[in-house]
Amino acid sequence: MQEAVIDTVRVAAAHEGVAELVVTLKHSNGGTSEVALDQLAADALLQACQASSPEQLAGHSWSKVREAMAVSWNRFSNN
Amino acid sequence: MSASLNAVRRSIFPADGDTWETIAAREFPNDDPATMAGQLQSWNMHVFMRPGAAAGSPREGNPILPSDVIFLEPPLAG
Repeated sequence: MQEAVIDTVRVAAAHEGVAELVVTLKHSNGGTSEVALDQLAADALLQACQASSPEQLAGHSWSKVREAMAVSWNRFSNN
Repeated sequence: MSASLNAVRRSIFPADGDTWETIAAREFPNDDPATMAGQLQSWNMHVFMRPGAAAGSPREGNPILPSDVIFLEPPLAG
């Protein structure tokens, strides 16, 4: 089963109006799910996808989104 | 409206100590556990986005709770 890919992205206002990137993933059966990325994760995703704008993220795999989220989650890690 | 409510995503309750990898290995024995663990994470954002248990705790790094519903297939298409 093919993994999900980025279908669309949009910028939304998160807590206190800070911008977040809402990524819509499209699964192999046509179902969709959304995941919100903070700035650190969004920047990591853009870098991983070699994209200069959010519009260029479409088509990239879920694994890149997951890795970008890990960058944000691990920001306070002492490792 | 009633027709769409009849479609139910396959799901399980986790076994004691379950991780993404153990669920993947048990529920998808013919597939690579690491690959299916990634799939499971994408199908279960309500769990994946949750912070993992604290370092040094029995469930360190594992966001899966025994009371979670873990879906075994993607979100249904509209």
